[in-house]
Amino acid sequence: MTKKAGQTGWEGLFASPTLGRLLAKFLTHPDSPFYQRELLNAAQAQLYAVQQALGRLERAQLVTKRPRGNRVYYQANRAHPAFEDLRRVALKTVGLGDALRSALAPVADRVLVAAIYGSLARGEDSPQSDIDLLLVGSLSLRETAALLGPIGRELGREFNITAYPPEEFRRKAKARHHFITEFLASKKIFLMGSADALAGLAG
Amino acid sequence: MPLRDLLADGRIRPHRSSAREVADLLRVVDRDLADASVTQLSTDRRFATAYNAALLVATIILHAAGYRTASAGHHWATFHVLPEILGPAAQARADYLDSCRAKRNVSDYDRAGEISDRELDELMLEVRAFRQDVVAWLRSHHSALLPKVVF
Repeated sequence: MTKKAGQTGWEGLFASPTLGRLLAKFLTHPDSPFYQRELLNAAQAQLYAVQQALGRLERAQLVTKRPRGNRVYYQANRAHPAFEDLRRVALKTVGLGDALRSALAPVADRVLVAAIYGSLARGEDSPQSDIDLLLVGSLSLRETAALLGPIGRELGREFNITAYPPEEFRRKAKARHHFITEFLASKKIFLMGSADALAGLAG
Repeated sequence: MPLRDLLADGRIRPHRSSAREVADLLRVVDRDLADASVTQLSTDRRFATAYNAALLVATIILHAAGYRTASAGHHWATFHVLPEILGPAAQARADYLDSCRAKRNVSDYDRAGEISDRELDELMLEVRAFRQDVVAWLRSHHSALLPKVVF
């Protein structure tokens, strides 16, 4: 999803890309406290730039800073009056892939591939478009829907979820089933697994 | 969006159901469940038919609670209000059926062959369980609406 960041222009809004990346991280994981090292990795920037950006976010009261043990933790401040609006902007631009990955985390060990396809993957989506998501793995549509329901409601976007067990996916890929063939050839944004994993599955 | 707001903007209206109406709807549910079991049909068509059965089970609940949607097209609202009527434990079922609604829209109007065999099996099991649950719920909450002939 980082590729989409440039297209959707979130980082372009900020004089410092580090600030943009950190804010997106906080907004898409509002309930997670982060310590400096984790944020350094997320921002892919120098320590000084990260410290400066954290200082700005803290002064703007978008982020709170709390010592715990011998570490200092930073976390999004849900009480900020613009929090909900900023979070929605972040989710709709840079944060969607990240938010979906963390929503699917409880079943990650049973997902071989999760990919967005359709209009969103082609960059042709409108705010009304469904988010087409295909998963290959040992999980039911019911549990996937329960995990993604809250994000869909928050975004006001509808998910079109398709869940294939690996055997059925392999069988239909071999038989050149038209939907699977089209899916394999189409543009995708991988949330879990990779193009290689998918090629391996399709045989 | 709470039921109160849906009522205020006219998407949901008050309704008075009857044992006869419930019996009619249950017959449609059973017809659709039988049709959705016809293996000669495509997975997509069977899924859409099973989905229609699920929609009508949810409609029975909405009607029994004293409401109906303003037009037949409001599938979303029918599932959306389930947790408010049945309690928060119904949220997972509502989310699931709503995701089936999105899938059925894509499959009916946009793309063929997307629905997996396992998704169809899962929906069939879910609708049969949902139908049993609604009969039990009618018995305990709206016994006057329970058809004389229990299906």
